[in-house]
Amino acid sequence: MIRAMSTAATGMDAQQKRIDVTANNLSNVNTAGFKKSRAEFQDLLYQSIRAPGTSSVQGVRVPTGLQVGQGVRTVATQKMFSQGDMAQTGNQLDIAVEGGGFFQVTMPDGTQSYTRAGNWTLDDTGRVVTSDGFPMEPAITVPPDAVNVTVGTDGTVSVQQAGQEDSSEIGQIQLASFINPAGLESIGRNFYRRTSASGNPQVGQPGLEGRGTLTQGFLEMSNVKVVEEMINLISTQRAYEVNSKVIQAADEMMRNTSQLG
Amino acid sequence: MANSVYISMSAAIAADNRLDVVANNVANVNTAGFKQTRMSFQDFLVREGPDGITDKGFSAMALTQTDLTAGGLQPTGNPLDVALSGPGFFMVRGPDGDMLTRNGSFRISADGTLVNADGMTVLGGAAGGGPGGPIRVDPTKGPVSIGPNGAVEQQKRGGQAGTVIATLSIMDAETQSLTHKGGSNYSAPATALQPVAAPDLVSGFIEKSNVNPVRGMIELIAATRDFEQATRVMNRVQQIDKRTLDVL
Repeated sequence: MIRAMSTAATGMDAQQKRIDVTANNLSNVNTAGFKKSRAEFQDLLYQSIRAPGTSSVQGVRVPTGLQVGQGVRTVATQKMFSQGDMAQTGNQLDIAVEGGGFFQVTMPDGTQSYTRAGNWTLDDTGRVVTSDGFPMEPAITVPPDAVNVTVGTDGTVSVQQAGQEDSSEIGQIQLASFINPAGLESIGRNFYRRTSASGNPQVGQPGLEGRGTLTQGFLEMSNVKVVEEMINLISTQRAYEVNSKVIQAADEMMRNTSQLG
Repeated sequence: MANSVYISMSAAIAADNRLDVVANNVANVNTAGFKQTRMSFQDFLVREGPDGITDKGFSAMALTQTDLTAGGLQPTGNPLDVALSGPGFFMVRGPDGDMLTRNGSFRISADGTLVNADGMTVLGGAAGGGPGGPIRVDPTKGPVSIGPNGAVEQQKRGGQAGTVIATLSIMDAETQSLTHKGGSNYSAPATALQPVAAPDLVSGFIEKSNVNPVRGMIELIAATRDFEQATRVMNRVQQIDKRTLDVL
């Protein structure tokens, strides 16, 4: 009975983790470039009371064994890097990636981080920075007298300066792709950091090797689907409930036992 | 008299074991690729009467069996999530040897090997139909997808047709030969494994657990009531014992 209780407790714990993940997904439903997570579960070890294939009587083999499981554990929270919905903003520095690539950002401590959020702005020196003020890598500086900034699908950034007819190229946006983006570490603020699981970034021009193309004037919104998350929420809550019922049942059975005699 | 106490005790223990199995099933109601455990109970001979009437009393959980009914498919949109819509298992290589699993939530490790959530390598099919070696993709090339027949394909530059790197090994085994290993994996003797000739995979989906919570709840109520009944019998037997002693 104690076994049933602890088994049900692992079930409740797992459902609670799933609710936590769902809550985070739902709260980021309007965060540009946010990627939803998913909690993954596996069953725990099994206690083999009788192994399959052992003999019950001489010459007779038990066809199946007797194995009792010990519950469930959360093995991973996996980021889902499916494409988010595109929202048209008309803003010149809103750039969406259509494909698997990430923008590169230089953090204040000099390290590289990666992001899908394409809501870029300019700082006081004209550098293209994130909303936190961290510059894009490679750095692109827009001259102060620029009238128009154009970003090509291949990442070419060109500006039209005041009083000039022709536009001039000022930089090239490069994207990084990872063989295993799910292995990236989320560090908050829409940033990811590379880990040994994600592999090294393959940096290059957008549009090549599955890195995806750029679209100016659009923002990639979060890839959270509210309906899906609501269904997850309901099913998780019910699963939690069923597991708590197991604890109640075990408790009732123990009460019966203690009243014996 | 003592026998009736022990008979009801065996029933109580059987109900307790039943609760343990139900607890594990409902704890895994949201575990991808999980297959519920079914159990069967056996009664044992107590005595044989002179006229050939047998008296059976003791009850015990005799065996557990994995119920291989397919679980529902849940769309995830992740190209490396695959679900088997037909029979069979994916093969993964763990530290203790090759294991079978229905959980097709795969990913690519840093060195480009196809692995599961635990980091065990997913095996490709060998020429003879058996499980072969790990599947490696080129980390510097494009995205990887898995086709309906289990072919692992890596896209090339500029939207050209991809190259098939390997084919997933899909093996089947009789439910009797499967041993639960935890981590959604099963082991089976190599002789019990048979390749699935035409596997049917869907990419971008995960197979949900096949546990039916309604059934779980009913089993739960049944186990509780069985236990209650057994304890009631034990109490009654004790009362009778006491009364007998009073008379004496």
